[in-house]
Amino acid sequence: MRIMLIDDSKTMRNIQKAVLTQLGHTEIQEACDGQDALSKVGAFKPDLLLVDWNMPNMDGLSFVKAFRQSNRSTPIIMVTTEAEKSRVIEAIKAGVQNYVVKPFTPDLLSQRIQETMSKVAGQPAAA
Amino acid sequence: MLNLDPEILQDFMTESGELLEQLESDLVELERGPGDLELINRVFRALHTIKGSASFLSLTNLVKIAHAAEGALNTARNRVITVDRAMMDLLLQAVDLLKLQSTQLAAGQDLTAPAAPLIHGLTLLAEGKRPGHAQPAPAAPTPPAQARPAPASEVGTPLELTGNRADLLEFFVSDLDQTIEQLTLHAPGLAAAETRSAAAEKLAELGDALIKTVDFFGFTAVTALARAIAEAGDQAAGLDDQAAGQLSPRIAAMITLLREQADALRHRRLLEHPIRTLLDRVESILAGRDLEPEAVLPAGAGPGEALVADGVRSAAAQAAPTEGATETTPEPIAEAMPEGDAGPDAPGPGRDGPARKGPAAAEHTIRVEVGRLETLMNLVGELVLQKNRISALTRGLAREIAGGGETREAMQMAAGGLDRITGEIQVAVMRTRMQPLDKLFGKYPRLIRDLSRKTSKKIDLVIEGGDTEVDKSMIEELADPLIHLLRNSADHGVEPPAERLAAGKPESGTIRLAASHKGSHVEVRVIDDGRGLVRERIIRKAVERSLVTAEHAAALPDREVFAFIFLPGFSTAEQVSDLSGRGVGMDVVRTNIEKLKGTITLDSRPGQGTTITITIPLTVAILPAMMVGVGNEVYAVPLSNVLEIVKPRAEQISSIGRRPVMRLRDTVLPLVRADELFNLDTGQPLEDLFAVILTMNDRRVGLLVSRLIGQQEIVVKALEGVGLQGGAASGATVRDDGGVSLIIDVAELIRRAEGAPGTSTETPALARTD
Amino acid sequence: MDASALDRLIRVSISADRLAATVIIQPGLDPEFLTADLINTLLDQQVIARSRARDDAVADLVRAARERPDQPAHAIVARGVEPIHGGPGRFELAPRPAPPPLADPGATDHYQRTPFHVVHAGGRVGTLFPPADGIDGVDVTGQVLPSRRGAAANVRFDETVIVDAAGAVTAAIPGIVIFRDSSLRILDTLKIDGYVDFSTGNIDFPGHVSVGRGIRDCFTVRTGRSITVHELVEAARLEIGEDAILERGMAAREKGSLSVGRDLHAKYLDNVEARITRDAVIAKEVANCHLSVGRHFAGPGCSFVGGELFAMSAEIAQVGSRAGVATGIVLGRVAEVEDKAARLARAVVPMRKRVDALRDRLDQLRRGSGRLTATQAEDLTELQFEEATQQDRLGKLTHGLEAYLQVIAAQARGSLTFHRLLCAGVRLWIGGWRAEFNTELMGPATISLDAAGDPVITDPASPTPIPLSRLARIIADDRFIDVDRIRRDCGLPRAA
Repeated sequence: MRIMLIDDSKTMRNIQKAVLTQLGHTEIQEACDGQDALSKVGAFKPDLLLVDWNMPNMDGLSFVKAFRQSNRSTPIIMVTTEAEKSRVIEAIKAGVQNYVVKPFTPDLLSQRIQETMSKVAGQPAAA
Repeated sequence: MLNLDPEILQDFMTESGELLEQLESDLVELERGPGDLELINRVFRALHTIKGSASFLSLTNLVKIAHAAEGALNTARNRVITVDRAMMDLLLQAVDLLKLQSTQLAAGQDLTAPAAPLIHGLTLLAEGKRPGHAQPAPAAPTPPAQARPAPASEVGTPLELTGNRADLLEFFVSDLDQTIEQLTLHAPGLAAAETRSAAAEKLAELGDALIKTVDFFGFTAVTALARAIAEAGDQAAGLDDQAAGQLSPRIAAMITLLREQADALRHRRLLEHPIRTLLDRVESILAGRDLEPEAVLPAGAGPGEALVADGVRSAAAQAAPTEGATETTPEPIAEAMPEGDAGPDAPGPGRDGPARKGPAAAEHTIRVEVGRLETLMNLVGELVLQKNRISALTRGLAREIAGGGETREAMQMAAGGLDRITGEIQVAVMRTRMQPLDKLFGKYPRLIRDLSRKTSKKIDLVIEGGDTEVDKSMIEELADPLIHLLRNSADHGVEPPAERLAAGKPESGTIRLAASHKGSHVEVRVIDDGRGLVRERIIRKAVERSLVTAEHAAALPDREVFAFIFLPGFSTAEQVSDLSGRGVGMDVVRTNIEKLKGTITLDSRPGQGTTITITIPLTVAILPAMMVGVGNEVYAVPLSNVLEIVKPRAEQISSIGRRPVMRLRDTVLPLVRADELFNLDTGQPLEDLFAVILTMNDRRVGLLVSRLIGQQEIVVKALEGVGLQGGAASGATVRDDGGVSLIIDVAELIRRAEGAPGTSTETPALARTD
Repeated sequence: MDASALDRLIRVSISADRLAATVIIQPGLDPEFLTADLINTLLDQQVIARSRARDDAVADLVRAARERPDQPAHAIVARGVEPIHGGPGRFELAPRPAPPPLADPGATDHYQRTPFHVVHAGGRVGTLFPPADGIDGVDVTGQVLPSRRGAAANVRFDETVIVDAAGAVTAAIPGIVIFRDSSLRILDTLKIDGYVDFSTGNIDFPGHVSVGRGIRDCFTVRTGRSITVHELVEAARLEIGEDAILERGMAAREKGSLSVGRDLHAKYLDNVEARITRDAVIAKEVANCHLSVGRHFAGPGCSFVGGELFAMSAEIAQVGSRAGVATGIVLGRVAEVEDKAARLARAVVPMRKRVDALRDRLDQLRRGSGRLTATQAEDLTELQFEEATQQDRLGKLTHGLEAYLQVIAAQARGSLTFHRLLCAGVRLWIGGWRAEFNTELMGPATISLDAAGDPVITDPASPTPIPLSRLARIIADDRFIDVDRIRRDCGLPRAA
C-alpha cells in the first residue's frame, strides 16, 4: 500500500513513518505542506494520506479540498490538535475519513490507520 | 547522547541547516517589520521544527536553546510583547549558538551548552510577560444548550460510540443543526418551478455533505435520509409541478425527522424511524412514476400529512405536532430564491471570517442561473438561422447581379465573416452549458460500492475521461440510463468471486466507465469483465417472443443478436433481482439515448465481458442535418444517422412480404417511402427516388426521397403535440429560406420499418439475408 | 446529356482496400457542364467523406479536365486511413541480477560469475506482454476499417510461477529459472555435476544444492535448504540453511568455515571453524577444529583431537591425543548464546533507566496541563512515540535475554561419553567448573553433574558415580556468565 505523509515537521513524519513501517508499510512518500503534496500525489498515487492540519503555504483542510477535486475515494486521515477538533466535521465534509488528535501514541495512530483501511475496504471496524 | 542512527542524523542536519539559514534572514527581516505575524509564525515554526527533531534525537543542549528561543517568540506571536531590538539580539545569539551546535554535530563533537545569561534572558521574555499567554480562545463548541424539552433523552436507543466518534458527536450535532437550518431555508423552493432547480442544487449539496458526516459515524438510519435528500436534490430540477408538489412535503417530513434525530443525538440516543415507505415514494416521485392513489397528498400538504401518509407515524401521534413540523411550512418563494448569486452561505466581507471559498476561485467563476443560459442558447439558435438566411440571400444575390463587382464581393465577404463569427459564438455559448461528465460519474463509485456489498461481489469501478464535457441537458438525461447499465453490469455481468476464481479470473471484477470525445460526439462506454452475454440464451428468448425464427437467428451476427436486448420487455437474467430488475428494461435505456439523438450498441464475448457503447452528440440544440425534398416539402435528417445516399437501380429493389426492400452490396435493408410516411402523394416511381440510408444502433433503413438538397446546421425546435404527421418527426426547424421543415425521427422510422415487435411474424427487416 | 452518358464519362472508383477514391473523367464532356458541384454531387452520392482536401482535389481535377478536354483526367480525391494491426504478445525474461560492483570497474570477479539464474519466492522472473489492440482505420466513406488484435505470446508456465493480471511473472517457489522450449518453470534443486569452481562461480541458492564432486578453495556456497557434497570440501565458506551432508569431509586449512542451519553429517573435519545449529554426526575424525554444536555431538567412532568443542552433550571415541595436543570440551555452553546474553544484558540495564525517566516525564506532562497548545501536543506526541519506541525495544531486548538465559540454564547440565580414551592434557568445562586431566582415562565412561552440581564420572561396569575430583583437577571457573547475577541486574525474575 502506498501512503503519503503530509506534515511540515520532519519529526512528525518520522514518527508516522516509523509507525507505518511497524505495520509493514514501506511505500511512503513525504510532503512538507499542501502545495508540495499536491505536486506529488499525481505521480505517487497514494492509497492513504495522513494530513497535518496546520501547515505553512497550504494547510491540511485546503489541501483536502483541492485533492478531492480530482480524487474522491482515497482515504485521508487528518492529524489535528485539540484546538481544531471543533472543525473536524468540516474536514469530514471536505472528504476526510478519519482523524487523530495530537498528542497521539503510536498505538492510537496505528489503530486509526487500520480502522480507516478496513472501513474503506468495506468491513466495519471495531472502533 | 543516544547512539544516533546516522541516517536520521543526516536528515536532521540537512533539515536544520536549511531552517537555520532561513531563520537568520527571517529574523533580520522581522527586525524591520516587527509586527509581521506571518513572519513571526514562520520563525516560530522553524525553531519548533528544529527543537522537535532535536528532542527526538536527545540533543539536550540544542533542545534547551531552541526551546528558550521558541518560548520567547511565542509571546511575540501571541502579541503579548512586540519584537524589539533587545529581543532580536537574544534571538540572533540563539541562532548563532544553534549554528555552532549544528557544526559540532556534523563533526561528531559534543554540543556546547547554552550560556546561562542567554537562556535566562529568553526565559524572562517568555515568562516575564506571561500573564497574557493564553491559548487562542477556542471557538466554544456549542454545548447542548438549547433549552428544549427533554423527551429526546428518553426516546430511541442509547448510542454506543467509541473513541473518535464519541469525541466528535457534539460537533456533529451542531453541524447537523446548521444543515437542518439550511435545508429548512431552501427546501420550500422545490415547490415552485422557477425556484426549483436552485433549491434542488442546494439540497444536493447539503445532502452530499451530510452523507459524508453520518457515514463517518455509521448512523445508517440518518444516511438513508441524507441520501434521499441528496438524490432528490440531484433530480428534482427535472420534475413537473405536480410531482414536485408530492415531493416537497416529503422533503419537509425528512427534515422534521432529521430534527428529531438531532435532538435524540444530543442525548446520545439514536432514533429508528420507519421510513421505508417514505423513501420508496420519494424514489418513485423522482423516477417519474405515479404514486398509488392513497399516497397522493392533497395540494398544500405539510410534513405532518406526509409523515402520516407514508406511515412514519400514526395520525394520533401527529396530532401533537412537533415544533419542527411548523417550521418547515413553505415560505414565500421569492425570498427563498437568491437569484443569480452565490448561496446565502457565501463568505461575508469580513477579513477574519473563515473564507470557505478561496478568493481566487471567486474571480474565475461566476454562477449563472441556468435559465439565462437557456435564453442565450435560444438566441444563438435564432442567430444561426438568420445567418443561414443571409448566406442563402447572398448566394441568390450573387446570381441576380452576376458581374456586379465590388458590392457582391463585399457582401460575400461579410456573409462569410458572419458565418465564422456565428460559428464561434455558437461554440462559445454551447461551452457555457458544457459540464464535465464527472459531475455524473462522481456518484457511481458509491453506487458500485453499495451494489458490490449487496451482491457480495468484488467490483472495482474505473472511471476514465470524467473530464469529458457534454451539454448540461445531456448529463441529466444520461444519469438514469447509466445507472441502469452499471446496475446491470454489477448485477448480471460481474460474477460472484467464487465463480470468477473458478473461471481463472481475478477475484474482483472491473467495470470501466469510459468517456471520450469522438468528433462532435461523445462516446460513453460501460465495460465489464464479467460473464458476458450468452448468444444462445438471447436467441432462445427472442424465438420465444417471436421476434425472430430460430433458423434466422442462427445466421445473425452477434451484434444483431445482442441488439434484441434493447427490445421492449426483453430480459435475459434468469431471475429478476431488486437491483437491476426494476421493470425498466434496456428498451427504456435505448429510448432515452435515442431521445438524445444518440445511439447505443452492445458487444460481448462469453466469459470475457460486455461492452456497451453509447454515442451522443455534444449537444442536441443544434445539429448538422441533411436536407431532403419530398414532393414539394423539405425535410431534415440528422446527419449523424446518414450512412450513405444511393440512387437505387430497379433491379436492386424487391419486396419481402409486403415490404419494399433494397439490396445494397451484400445486405438487404427495408425501404420506407417518405411521401407515404408523411401522406404526400407524389406518385413518383420507385426508381426515380434517392435512398438515404439511415442507421441507428446497428440497424439500417433506406428512406426514399425525391431530391437531395444539401447539408445544413439546423436549430431544433421541440414539436408541441406529438402525433403530428404521424409521429415520424422528432422536431422541427426553420430553414434558411424561412420555411419550416420537420426533422425525421430515425428511431421511429426504423421501428416502423421493422414493424412493432409482436405485431408481425415476418422476418425482422434488420436481418441479413443473402 | 442523359444520366447514363454521364456515368460513362465520369466515374468514381474506390480502390479495393477502400483507402482511395479516384475520380476519372473521360474526354467528351462538355466543359461548361463539368463543374466541381457536379463531381461533388457524384462523390456525395457515393458518400465519400467531404473534406477540404477533397474540395481542393476536385477543383484541381476540374481545372485540369477543362484545360485538356481531349485528354482523360483523373485524380485521387479522398484517402482513407489504413488500420494498424496490433502486435503479437510476447514474454520477456527478466535480466539476471547484476553481481555487486567491484572497486575497479574494469575488473571481473570470477568468483561472482555464475551461469545460474536464481530467484527467490516472489522474485520477478519476467514479463508477459499481452498482444496489442490495433488502431482502426477509416475508409474513404468514413466507415471504420477494423484492425486485428495481435496473437497471444507463445509461452507456457507451470505452477512454480505466478502470472498476475498486469503480466508480471514471479516465482512461486525459490529456485533456478529454467526457460526452455517456450516453457518456463522454477526448479528448487540446483544440481552441479562437477565441482563448485570457476565453472559455476559462487553459489547462492534458495533451494537445495547437490554437488557431484567437491567444493574448491575460496568459493562461497550459500543455500536456503540443504546441501549434499559427494567429495571433498576444501577451504571454502559454506552457509547452509538446513542440513549439510558432506559425504567425505571438509579440510579447511584454517581458512574455510561452515555454518549449518540444522544437522551436519560428515566423515571428517580438519581445521574447520564450524557452527551447527542442531546435531553434528561425524564418523571418523575431527582435527584442530573449533566446533559449536547447538545440541548433540555424535561421534561414537570419532576422535576429537586438538581445538575445542562446544556442545550440549557429546559422545566421542577418543578425546585428545597421547601427544598431549591441547583439546577442550565445553559442555552445556554455546559460545554465541553466552556472548549474546552478555551483550544484551549490557544494553538492557541503561535502557531500563532511560525508559523510567521518560515515563516520569510523561506522567508529569500529562498531569500538568488541561488543554494543550499545538506545540505542546506535538511535543507530547514525540515523547509518547519515544517512550513507546524505547519501551518496545526494551521489551524485545528483555524477551530475548530471558530466552537466552533459559537456554543457558537448561544447557548447563551436559554430559560427555568417551568410548575408548580420554587423554592427558584435555580440559573439560562442565557446570561452573573446569576439569584438567593429567592422566589418561580409559573408556567407556560418562562425565556429568550430580544432583548437587558437582562433576562425577560413571563407569558402566560400576554404576555408582565417582566424584571426578578423584581423577582430575577441578577448578571453579569464571569463563562463562553468571545467570543469577544478570537476572538481578536486569530486573528479571529468578529462574524457577
